[in-house]
Amino acid sequence: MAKSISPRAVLGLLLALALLALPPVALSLGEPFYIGLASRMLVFALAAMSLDLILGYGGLVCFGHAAFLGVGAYVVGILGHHAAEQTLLFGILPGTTSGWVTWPLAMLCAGFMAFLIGLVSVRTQGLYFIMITLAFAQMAYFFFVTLKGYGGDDGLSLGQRSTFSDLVSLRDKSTFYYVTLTMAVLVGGGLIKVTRSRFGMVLRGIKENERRMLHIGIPTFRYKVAAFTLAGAVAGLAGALLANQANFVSPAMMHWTRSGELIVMVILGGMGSLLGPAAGAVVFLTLEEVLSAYTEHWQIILGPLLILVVYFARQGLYGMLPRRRADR
Amino acid sequence: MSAKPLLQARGLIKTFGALVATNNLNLEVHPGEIHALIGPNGAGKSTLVAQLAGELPPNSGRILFDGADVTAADIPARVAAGLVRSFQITSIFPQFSALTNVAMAVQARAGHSFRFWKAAGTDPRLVDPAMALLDQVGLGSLAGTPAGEMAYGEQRQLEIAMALATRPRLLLLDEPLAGMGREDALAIIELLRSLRGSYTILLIEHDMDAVFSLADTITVLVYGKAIATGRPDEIRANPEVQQAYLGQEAHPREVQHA
Amino acid sequence: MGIFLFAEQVLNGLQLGTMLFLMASGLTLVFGIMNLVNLAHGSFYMMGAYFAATLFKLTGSLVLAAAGAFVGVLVLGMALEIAILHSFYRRDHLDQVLATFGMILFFNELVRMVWGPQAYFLALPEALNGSVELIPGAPYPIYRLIIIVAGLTVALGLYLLISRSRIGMLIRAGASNRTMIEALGVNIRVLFTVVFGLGAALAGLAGTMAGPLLAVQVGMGDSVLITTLVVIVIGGIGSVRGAFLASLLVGLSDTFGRMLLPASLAEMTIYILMAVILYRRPQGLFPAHG
Repeated sequence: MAKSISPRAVLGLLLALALLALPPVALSLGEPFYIGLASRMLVFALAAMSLDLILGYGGLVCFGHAAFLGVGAYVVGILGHHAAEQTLLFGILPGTTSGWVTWPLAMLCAGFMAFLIGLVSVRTQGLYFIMITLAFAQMAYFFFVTLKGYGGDDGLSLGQRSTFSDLVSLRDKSTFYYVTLTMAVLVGGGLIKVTRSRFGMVLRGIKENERRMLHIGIPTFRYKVAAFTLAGAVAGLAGALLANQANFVSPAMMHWTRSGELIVMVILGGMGSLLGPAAGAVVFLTLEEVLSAYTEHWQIILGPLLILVVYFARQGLYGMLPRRRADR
Repeated sequence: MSAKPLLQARGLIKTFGALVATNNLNLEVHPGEIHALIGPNGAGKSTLVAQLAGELPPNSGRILFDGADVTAADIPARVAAGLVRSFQITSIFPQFSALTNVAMAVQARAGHSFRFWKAAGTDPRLVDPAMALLDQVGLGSLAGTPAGEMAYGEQRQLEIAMALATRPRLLLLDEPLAGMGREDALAIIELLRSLRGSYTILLIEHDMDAVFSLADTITVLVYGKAIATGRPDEIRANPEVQQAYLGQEAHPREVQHA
Repeated sequence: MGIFLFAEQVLNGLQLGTMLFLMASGLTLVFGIMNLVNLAHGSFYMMGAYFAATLFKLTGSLVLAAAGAFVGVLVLGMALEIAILHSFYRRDHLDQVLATFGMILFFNELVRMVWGPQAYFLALPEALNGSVELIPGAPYPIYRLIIIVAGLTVALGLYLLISRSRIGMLIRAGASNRTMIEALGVNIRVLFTVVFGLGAALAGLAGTMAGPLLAVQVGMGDSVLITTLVVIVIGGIGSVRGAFLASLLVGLSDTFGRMLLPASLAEMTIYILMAVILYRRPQGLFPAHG
């Protein structure tokens, strides 16, 4: 075994250092704004990775992923709202701002919704699947628009961020950043493990040749539903983080263009690589930040740019990285 | 044959509009035999395989596997029972290595795949049997090659390895020699010969040399009907068969490219 | 429910349905023949509305405005097809979705830059502003009737075009077998461009007609796009006949859903309809591709 350090390892090490050093560096430069931006990037990196699990590995082009994000966010928002108002949800449940309760609940709710949607939609193929996931996300979107008690169209402000213990306060930008980073690394790492497990191999096999999977005896339906559920749950967690990051939840989070943007992040970074889509999220938000500083009409640049990326750089950023020999 | 048939089709009918693709068909495949199914193009062989494998529901009739009615069972359930097909048009996982292709099939046999943590690629319970199967079909040296980059004949061998990995009790081989050169075909024929006794095989094949040298029993299908079933010499001597099928060709070998 | 109210709602449903059909016919043809998913179809609708609003302001003539918008979107559609979209015909659906999603971003922003973010309201001329009593005692707006008639006329025209004319023969052949029409010596590139342009122009026409009913504003194409997608998915992607029936089905369900159901459910009616239909028939009502 060669002991030389691979370019990938160097890259990874530098990245880890940069991620850890970001808050103190930003503070010392007098630019705390960047800590918030970086947290937002990490949240979307997590969301993009969850989408990549089904899109990049399972070949399920979900055009409604933002709905799971939104549901996760609303769990935090609605429970926080009841906590602030001292009222009961459904007349029985008290509100809470405890992250120990709301974050897992966000995952549970989004996962359960994904499970139900998955049951119906993974039966369909290709374009039908794209459209049915879009339709379900629209249903969720309109559902929250009509929830006037929680602000309807205008959304809901978070009175305070989720609480964990007296030692860890998410109100502090740097703390929130590190918590988000921890979640992204743990869950993202977990997803990488999953894609290499037997379950992950089944997903890849379904994307490669679903008919063959059936004929070696694998009932693909249940694995697709399971993957959809898992991806929804992780997106729900990202949603809970996003609600905290923005101190705000609204139906706009679930707008179908948000789902489109999540797909863009995945493609931009390179499908089926998890780290690629995470980088794709960072690049997308950077692009948004840079372009919108330059002109308020930044989407007039983003649109054509997107077409060019799809046309020329289908492999995404990950495809441009130096490859490990074993990847072959 | 004395033993109970492993696979039985009883009164199978399948129509597409006015076309009767399977016409009140009866078929019995006995344990351990190589049973060949022959017939001119359009005789309904592929439609029959699709019904036996669970891809197409018959309009009426029953399919029994090892005594159990599997007419309504879905594809994975039939595979789990041991009824496994291969494809005329190569069906593999082109981006996976040959080893992973077979390991996937081993995994399918090794119980459910709701295992989210341990890496599958280094699991000896999957990799070792997969490697053994690759060796068995003669692809051991190509284990790391992406399946999509393998030669056509090698891909067909890989298909058979994948089918074997599911530990079938009955293999439905749909034209395993289709589109092959003579040399590749001979390799597959040898491979099938080596499987004799260990597996029950229902072989659909146009190559008459292969059929008559391999098969214990031959069923002749014409217009969706089984017109004759018997030992190779009986089939060769059957005037009805000669009339309907073999008689068309002076040299049966040439039938394969029809 | 009174019989008058019921009749009025049926007409409203028909009116929405025929508008949806103008959108859906082009989208489903483009998918059926060129195998292209075009999310930017809603942008053609929006551009039609803006072209018409602008021309109406300049000329004062609704007919001129509608004709101008039709031609304008026809040209725009053909130009886009030639410049960009034809190179996506052989890409997978995901690529097409993304590229045309990029187009939506572009057009929405373009409109915002050129026409500004505020909504336009197209006032109808006096002659079209009144009502007629189809059933005595139940007045119905003339303009909505015109939309229904225009929509049904286009549907009939499209039916004749596809079932009777040479170009229709090619379209039908193209939907089932692309190589066959190439073998016939037809310049398939031109055929594709024409079909795409025509579909775009019909979407533009729908936008023009919607102008006086709804606000002409940025993003107006997005919501109608999604409804149209629901229509073609229900109808069976690629099937014009399916699109027609699904348009009316969706138009009527949406209209009655809004009248009969509580607000939170009303918005979801058509999506529930689609989910139920796809659950029963994963290929839609009239699958065009076996």
